[in-house]
Amino acid sequence: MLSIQNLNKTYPNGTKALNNVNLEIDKGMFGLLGPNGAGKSTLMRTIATLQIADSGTIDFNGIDVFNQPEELRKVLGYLPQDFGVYPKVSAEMMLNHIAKIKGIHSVNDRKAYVADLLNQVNLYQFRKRNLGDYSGGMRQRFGIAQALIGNPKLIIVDEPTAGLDPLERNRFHNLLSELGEDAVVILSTHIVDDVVNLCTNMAVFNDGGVVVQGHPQELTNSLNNRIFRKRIEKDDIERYQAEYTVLSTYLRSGNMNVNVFSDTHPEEGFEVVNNTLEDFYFYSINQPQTV
Amino acid sequence: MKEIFLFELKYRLRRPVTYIYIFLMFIIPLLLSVFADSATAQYTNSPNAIVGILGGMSVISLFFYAAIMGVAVYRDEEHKTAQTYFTFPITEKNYILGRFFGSFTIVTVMNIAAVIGAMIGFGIGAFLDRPDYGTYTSFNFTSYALPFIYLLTFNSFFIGSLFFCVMTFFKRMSILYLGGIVILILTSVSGQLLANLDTEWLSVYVDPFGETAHSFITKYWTVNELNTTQLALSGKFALNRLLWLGVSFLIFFFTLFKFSYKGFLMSSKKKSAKESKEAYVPAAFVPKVVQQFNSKARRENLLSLSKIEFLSIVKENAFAILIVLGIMVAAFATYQSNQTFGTPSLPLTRYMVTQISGGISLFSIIILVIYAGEAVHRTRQNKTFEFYDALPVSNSTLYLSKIIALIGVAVVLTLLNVVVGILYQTFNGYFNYELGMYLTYNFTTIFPSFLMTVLLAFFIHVLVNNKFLGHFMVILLYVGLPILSVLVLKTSNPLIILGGTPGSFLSDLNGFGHYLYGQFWLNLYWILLTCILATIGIVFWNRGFIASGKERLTIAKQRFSGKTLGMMLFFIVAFVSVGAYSYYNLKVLNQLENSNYSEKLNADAEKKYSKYIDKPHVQVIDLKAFVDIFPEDRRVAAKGEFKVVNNFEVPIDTLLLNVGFPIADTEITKVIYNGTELKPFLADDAYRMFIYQLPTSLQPEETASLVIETKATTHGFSSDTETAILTNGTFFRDAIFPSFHYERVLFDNGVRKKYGLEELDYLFPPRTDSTALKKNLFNEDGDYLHFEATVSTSKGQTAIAPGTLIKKWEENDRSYFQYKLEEKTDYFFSFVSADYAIKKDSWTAPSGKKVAIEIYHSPKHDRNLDYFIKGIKIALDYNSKNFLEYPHAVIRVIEFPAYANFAQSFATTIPYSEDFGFVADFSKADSYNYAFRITSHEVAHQWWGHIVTPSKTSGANIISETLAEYASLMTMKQEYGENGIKSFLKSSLDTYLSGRKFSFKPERSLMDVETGQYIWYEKGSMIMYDLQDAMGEDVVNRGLKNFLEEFKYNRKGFYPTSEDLYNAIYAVTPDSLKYKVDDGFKKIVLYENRVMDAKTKALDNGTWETTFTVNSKKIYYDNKGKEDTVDDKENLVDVGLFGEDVVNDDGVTIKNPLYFKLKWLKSGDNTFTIITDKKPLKAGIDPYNKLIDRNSDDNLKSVEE
Repeated sequence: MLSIQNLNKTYPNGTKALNNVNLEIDKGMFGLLGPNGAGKSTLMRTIATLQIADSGTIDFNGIDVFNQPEELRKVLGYLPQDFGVYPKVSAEMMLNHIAKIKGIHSVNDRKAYVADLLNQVNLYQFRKRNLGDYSGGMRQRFGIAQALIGNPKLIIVDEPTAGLDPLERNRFHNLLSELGEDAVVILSTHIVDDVVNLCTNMAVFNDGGVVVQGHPQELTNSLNNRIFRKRIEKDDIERYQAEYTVLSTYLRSGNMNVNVFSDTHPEEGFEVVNNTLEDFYFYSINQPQTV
Repeated sequence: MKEIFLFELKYRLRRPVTYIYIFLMFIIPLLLSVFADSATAQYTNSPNAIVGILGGMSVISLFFYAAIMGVAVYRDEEHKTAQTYFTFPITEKNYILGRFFGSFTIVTVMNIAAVIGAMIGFGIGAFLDRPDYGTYTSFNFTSYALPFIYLLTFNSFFIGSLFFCVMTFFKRMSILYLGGIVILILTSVSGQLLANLDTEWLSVYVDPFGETAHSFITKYWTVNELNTTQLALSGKFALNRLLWLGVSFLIFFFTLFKFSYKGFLMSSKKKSAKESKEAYVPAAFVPKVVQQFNSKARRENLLSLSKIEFLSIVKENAFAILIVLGIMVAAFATYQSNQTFGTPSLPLTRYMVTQISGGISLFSIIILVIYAGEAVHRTRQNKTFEFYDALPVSNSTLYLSKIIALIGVAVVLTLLNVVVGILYQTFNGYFNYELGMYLTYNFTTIFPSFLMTVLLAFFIHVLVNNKFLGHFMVILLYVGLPILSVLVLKTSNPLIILGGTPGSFLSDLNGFGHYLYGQFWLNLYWILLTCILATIGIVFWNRGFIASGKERLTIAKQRFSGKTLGMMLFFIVAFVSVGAYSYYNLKVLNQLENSNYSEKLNADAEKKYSKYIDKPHVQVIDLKAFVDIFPEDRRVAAKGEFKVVNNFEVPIDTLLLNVGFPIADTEITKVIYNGTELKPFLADDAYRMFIYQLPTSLQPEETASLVIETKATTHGFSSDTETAILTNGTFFRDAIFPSFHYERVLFDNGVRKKYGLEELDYLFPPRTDSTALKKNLFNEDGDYLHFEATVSTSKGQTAIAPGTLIKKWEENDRSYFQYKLEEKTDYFFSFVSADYAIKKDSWTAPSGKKVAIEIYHSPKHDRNLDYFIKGIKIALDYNSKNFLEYPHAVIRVIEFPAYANFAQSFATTIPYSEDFGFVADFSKADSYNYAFRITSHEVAHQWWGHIVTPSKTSGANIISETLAEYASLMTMKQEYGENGIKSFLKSSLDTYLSGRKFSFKPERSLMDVETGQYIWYEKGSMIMYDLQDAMGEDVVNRGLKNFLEEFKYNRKGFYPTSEDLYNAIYAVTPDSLKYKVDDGFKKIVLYENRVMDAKTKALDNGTWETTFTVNSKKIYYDNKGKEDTVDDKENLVDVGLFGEDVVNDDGVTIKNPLYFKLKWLKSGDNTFTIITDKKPLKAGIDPYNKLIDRNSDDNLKSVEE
């Protein structure tokens, strides 16, 4: 469905945001996992017609994104990471307006549709409030609503759950997975759990390029029995980092823990852990050259 | 604080835009001063001129000051850094001080840049060899330093603290705009107040920039004072500066002490909180989404997007506020400007449309530019674009919707003109709304300019992609381009001047005239040009994220195809076609040259033809003119049957014909001399000079017959208003026939020097030049001659030439009128034609002769006709009784269209502008009746000008103008009494004193005046009034009568000079007053009279004894305006004591003298002790301001008890 080939983008300040990106994405939820500054947002914007690349192509269902941006926009739902609103316009009015732009011209249909949408994102009660007076979470839900208008075939959501409380997050996840049934949904995030919960396919993205692509569970499994954990003293971190491939150091109940990757069982005190996608994620962004 | 200060400084210095501001602040004054010129005797770089350039920068830099000072604190709000910043250990005061002075340092750097710019600019100006730009004085650092301190620094401190304050407390960009606009309004209002004698005192307080205050104090300065006096913090200027400095400090300290972190962080927003409690009721079924992207859907999208964009503009508070301000300014400006000589005019629709739009247009353009910027940047500013730009709406729909919305706003603003005009008329009790004129004017003149503004501003904002810079670029184009075209290109070509259209005027007689046609094409031309730009704008429209200029170009290239390309080609083809058609009309069919061209043409002509100056030429003794006016085609054909004579002592063998008619295409079609048709041996078509060889020489005193046929034709549309021939209201002079001599036209010595012509000290020959004495001032082509004219015009119009109407008939669907003058006239006459109503009256001369009085007026103007008739009758009476009986059987006032404000007296015939009294509202006048006054002045010219004609020598024009002014003053005195002419004398004094600094030659005495209208009208009337006041009207009139008898109708064979007039008056003046005649005619004299102190005490018998001291000083000035000597002799001056002012029968407030006498005062203090019956309130010296005195306010002083 979505085919990205040899995509490159270098900013005038020399940052290479996209480095020969190749991706094939099919219907369903696709997670794009990567650290801050990896170039995820650049990729999202580029797919969403908001930015051009230096070279490469993006094709969606036969639509050449760079040459037919208009066509793509008709089937696109896009929720940017950071966006603003017209402060003095109500959510209902704004969504109505967007619905119209997205081609829903029958007045009655549109009204019912927008009301339904507002209900789905739990904003129906606040539909008449000006967007400028929305809290961060409400604004995010509004953003979700606008991205869903018009049953898009390609949905791009960039860090969508930022600022949502757990309840809303679940609600949103449900909504997304429903949509994923017959659309391409790209979920860009740095929250591993989102990907674990939702996605059937994923890619790890770092330094402007795809590090690895695959099924989350399979990717996780590829490291089975090779991830070890040890409770350590804070002062020893440096030593471990020098000796092992440390994936993460974290506190658990006030104690310092370290997860390391190793083909063989490391020193005394390490134990094999029930490894997760997070471990794989850390593993892949630490050693981009190995996979 | 130091850290904050340094941070602010570093922040600013890292921003490229700071350098752009500094550069602009440097380059603008540089360019202005390079191209500054002085047409007067003032140095081009005089201290006053430097004040003008640098003071003007305060207004321009308002924008930069706002950009720097306004955002210093606001930045912490905008970038949301306030929350963290304010937790750092800095006190609030230090934070404010650091931010303020950091920014203020940058602003000061900008001001220094402006000063350096002006220095370099004037330096370059002086270095270039351009004599026509005036003379330069040597560099003086003080001249720059003082305006830098008192104007630039004070003003930047004021603007800075104001914007710093409002942005700190309101945190809204719109407040910044509003603040700037309010300040601009104050500036323009203060300028308007200054223009009016009664309100000028107020302007000193209102003006925030000190420029108006400076104009106020320099109002009566002489050229010398302008050239040498440095800007000083004194008098009213100091008052203004300290007042606004005080205001600035108040604002500054208010900010400093009121600012608190908590207050700053507190959001002022209130929740719109329209929570609907109702739960969601699912619709019976949620409809299946049907997306439509057909063309109908696109149209609907365009419409709804435009609507949203439009509403988002007009619903904004700032929009409403701007409109209200615009309306207030327009109403104020209209109230101020819709008057002549202190008398309001009726609020006619033709005044309303121009004056109201004059006030509203500026605001409308500001609104359109601001909102064009908003429309471009709105989604970016609130970051909505991050998802909005990914919506399925095409670039062109998005782009077009914004333009449509702005055009909608332009329509609203255009209609606002109509509404405000009608309301203004209604409030003034005037109900003759001419809706057709309102709509036609506003949609043919105002709307196109708005449309252009919208497209241009939108394009620039798209291209520049930075709001502040975009606004600035638009302002630069709007202000810079006209300055560029006037100062540098010296052109009036409407194809080059942004938004230029051919000139036009509105008139009750002539309506819109023939001008709409040319305006249509030029408006179309400019709109098409901006359409091209707007189309270019589409390809540069910023959508999504664009990383670099290169990327922008890539996208632009990609978009530049298909429809956009087609549209662009269409606009280009249309633009080029319209441009070509306009060019053909303006330049091929008509003449369109810059001012350098005409300068050079005239200079070349002088080099070629100056040998003909003072050479013998034929002179007319009899003329039968046949003039056919075709108002609809705007053309004229004329035939003159001349009888010419050789009045010189040598034979004449050449005939020189110089066409001077204002219509460019004026041809001499036939010249027949004594029956032989002549062909020119020299034809200079550029200067329109044709020289013929006479078949036989014309011997001295021999006469010959000469027939000259000419025709003047207008073609298409021209950049010239071509007012000589109009559809309804044609008025032209004897220039329809060529003149027989060459006359110099370049008088500016700078220009003369530039072209290598000899510099002229005086324009006219001296009074001793016997050749010049034989020429009359008006036209040396004839002495007194017999005149007859047959004038034809379209049926329905009346054609008028000087003389009695002897026959009138119709032929070939045209009307013919034949006129004949009973008495000889100088070679000076007019032809007028329009559709007139005629009001008739008559006056009987003392001898019993009946003189018909006729007022030819527009049928719409029947309101003030009685004043004209009264003016005519009283002037005929006064001049006939005192000097000589009126020689003709008819006298006429004839209205001509409102392209100019004047009246001109030809024998029996006075063409009179329709704006000069016909539409005045004298019921609301608090000044003299100018219709009466001007009429009596023009009628007096029948004697002073036509019976006695001045010679062509220095100063002689006072015989015509000063005496007409005197006679008019005396008729006013007779009609309205002494008190009735107070306001007239006051404005005469003001006009004379403020005119002196504009003198482009040294200031001449009355006797030598050649160019200064303010001398021969205003100073002349002051002098003559004082003379008749001191020695008696009868005595003066006796002198004038002698003078008239001696020189009437050129009976001596030569014409009188100003010295002859002086002698005539001097002869009748008593010895003790002869000094006044000398002072008045031969000297430049200013008094400095004032009351020093005055005390009164009650005497036992109920009377009051007042002791008061007056100081009198009479100063002679040289012709540069420099003080020469102080008179040590005694002078006759009024002194008096006054009770409370009283209101006379006419409702006019007048003084109530308890004691009033002419006294001989010595120079210095003079003390008087006077006993009066009643208690005096005021003591005065020259209390009625009869003498010329620059400070007339200190002539009265309250009496202390």
